[in-house]
Amino acid sequence: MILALQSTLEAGHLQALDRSLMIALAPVVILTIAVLVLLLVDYFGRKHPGPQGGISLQNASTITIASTVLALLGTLGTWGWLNTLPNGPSQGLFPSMIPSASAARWDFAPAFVVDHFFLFVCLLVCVVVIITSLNFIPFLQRKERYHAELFPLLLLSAIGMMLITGSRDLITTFMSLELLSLPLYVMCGLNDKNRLNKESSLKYFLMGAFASGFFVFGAALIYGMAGHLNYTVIQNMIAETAQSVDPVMLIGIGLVGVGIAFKLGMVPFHAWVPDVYQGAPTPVTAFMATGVKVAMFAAATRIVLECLPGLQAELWRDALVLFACLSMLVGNLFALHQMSAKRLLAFSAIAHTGYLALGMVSGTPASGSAVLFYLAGYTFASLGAFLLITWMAPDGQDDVFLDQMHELWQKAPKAAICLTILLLSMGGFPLTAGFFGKFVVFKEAWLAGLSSIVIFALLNSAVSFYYYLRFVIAMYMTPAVPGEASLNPRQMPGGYVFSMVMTVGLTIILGVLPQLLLGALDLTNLGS
Amino acid sequence: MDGQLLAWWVLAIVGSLSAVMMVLSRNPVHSVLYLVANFLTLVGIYFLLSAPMMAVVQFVVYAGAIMILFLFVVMFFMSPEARRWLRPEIKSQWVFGTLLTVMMLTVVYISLFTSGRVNQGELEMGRPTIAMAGAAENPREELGHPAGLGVRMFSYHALPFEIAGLLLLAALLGAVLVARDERSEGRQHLAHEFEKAEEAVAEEVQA
Repeated sequence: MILALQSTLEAGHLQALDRSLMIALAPVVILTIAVLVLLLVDYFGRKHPGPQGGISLQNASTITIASTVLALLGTLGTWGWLNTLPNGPSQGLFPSMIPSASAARWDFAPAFVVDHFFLFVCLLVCVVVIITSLNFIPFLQRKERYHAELFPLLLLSAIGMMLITGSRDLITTFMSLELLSLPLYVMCGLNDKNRLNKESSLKYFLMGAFASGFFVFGAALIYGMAGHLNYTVIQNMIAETAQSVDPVMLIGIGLVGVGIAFKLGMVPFHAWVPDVYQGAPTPVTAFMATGVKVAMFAAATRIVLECLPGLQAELWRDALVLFACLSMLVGNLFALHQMSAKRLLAFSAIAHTGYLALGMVSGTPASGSAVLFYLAGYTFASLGAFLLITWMAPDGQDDVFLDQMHELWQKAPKAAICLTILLLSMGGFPLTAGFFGKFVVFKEAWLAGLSSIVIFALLNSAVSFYYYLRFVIAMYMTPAVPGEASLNPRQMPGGYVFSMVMTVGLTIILGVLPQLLLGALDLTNLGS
Repeated sequence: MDGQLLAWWVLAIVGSLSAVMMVLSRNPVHSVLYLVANFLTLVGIYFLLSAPMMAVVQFVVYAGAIMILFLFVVMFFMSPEARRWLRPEIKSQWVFGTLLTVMMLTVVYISLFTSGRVNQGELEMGRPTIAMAGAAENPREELGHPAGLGVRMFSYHALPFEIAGLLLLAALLGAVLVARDERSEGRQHLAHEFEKAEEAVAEEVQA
């Protein structure tokens, strides 16, 4: 035993405690400190034990936003710092020694990697957290429910989202997956007086627990076959047995895939999405629809590009392509006649999962950056749309229905224009971020030889315009029905104005000048 | 038949039977007790696999702490009728359950047999060459023993270890948030009940 310990020490296992680690993980470290600060301020701010007192909503959100801005700056700093390092722009942390393919020498396989792919997702998650927390305050004040604990939970979930994208080991992936979902289960059931909230929380929790079970079972089977959970080892193992991969290994990969597909809301594992999205408080839905999708797709893309390249295409790609097509079809068909805006966005999120999965399965070196571009465009559009719903919802109702949108153009022209731009971007209208997202994703799929599927996807996105434009037409052209509980456009608080300018502005900028982001995303290509 | 194999057969049969009984039993308390039996057989199987650390953790954490928690939950939060006889919510639930279980087992067994890992009743799993760095000669030694586990937990698995801390923090916060609201509601409910009782007493006094 002592011998083993010595050899691990000599092999540099404890390089893990390097100082550069703290710099490389800057966004995660900053957010973790912010969580602790929030909790301690809350604790010491109380004069008496009990629900009264503690940190005010305003202060909690200020600390959250300030620390997230700091994390954003830290991420940008690390982004530049990575390029100056002598051993390349990808930093492996927590290495383990594995035998190389020749088995004559040992290689280092990191459990976690800090590269531009990881940092870009950190940037997106930071933006999502900032915009979501800006919009929590007016929402919470309106509901008259006091929940300052919400902000630490939001940050913990964001930490999970960041960590899962840099993970190169199934244990780290699993722990981050749980860290990102657990706070969301609580946040969904935020308003305990609302039955829909409770239902949404419970459904999400049960489905999430089920998905985690699949993931762990699959990871156990993979461990049984490969003897390790590191992506590099799994990739080597698959590459060695390329022609006859062990069926047990395949089942393991399949079960891990099912677990991830549940979280992504991919058909046929999508049944929870509409109910959970509709039932959750709208700012939480915004966070869930964008943050979880970004993190899970980034993690899934890393697994596809770093574990599976050696696997024969018909063993995994065909199944994923089928799921992608079903997601587009089911999402679009069910969205066609939705009256509730939140449900519409939920079904359109399922359709978007399909488009994104298409980019992911293409498996070309640039597919990682294509998926990230699409995710950026989708995130801004979806965040903005959910925030507008939060703002427009009449009192005592946490949703907007089609009938209530009539004549929004006369009541609140600015909001109507913003919503129009965001919905068009989701559909993929030219000169918006959504268009270029679809363009790069479909291009990668086309290059990978999936031309017929790309045509199917194009037809689907044409169909999707029907339901997006249905809401647009309602805002401009349909006269209001008398007696219908109409929208209640309040004075827009500063936080909302800022978020709307950010989301709509970024949607247009990325649509008109996509090369700004595409250039930076060249750094994020994955795969060997 | 040597002693190890005999022990394995006994443990395997008792373990499978208790798992089946746990699902079939209509009484939730019995289900929990069957699950305890199942976990204890797993402890034995881990010992047979020369994984003493896993066995001890299984015994202390699962068979000990978690099952006690289960029993408490069943005793405290279920109505007395439900505690004796749990009714399945979905009709013919067991048909679908059996079907899915059989499908899953079929897939796993077919894959195990076609992979050629089952030879004359013996199952070979894992590849010692890749298994562990540092102690490649004896991979079981390293993970099975607390020392090896500790070394890995603070080196290669340091990050998931830290994430587990954050995860527990999130779970704690979530539990406080959920339970606090329930408790204040319960207090209001209690106050309401008291008011009703007082009114009833006042009415009786008037009468």
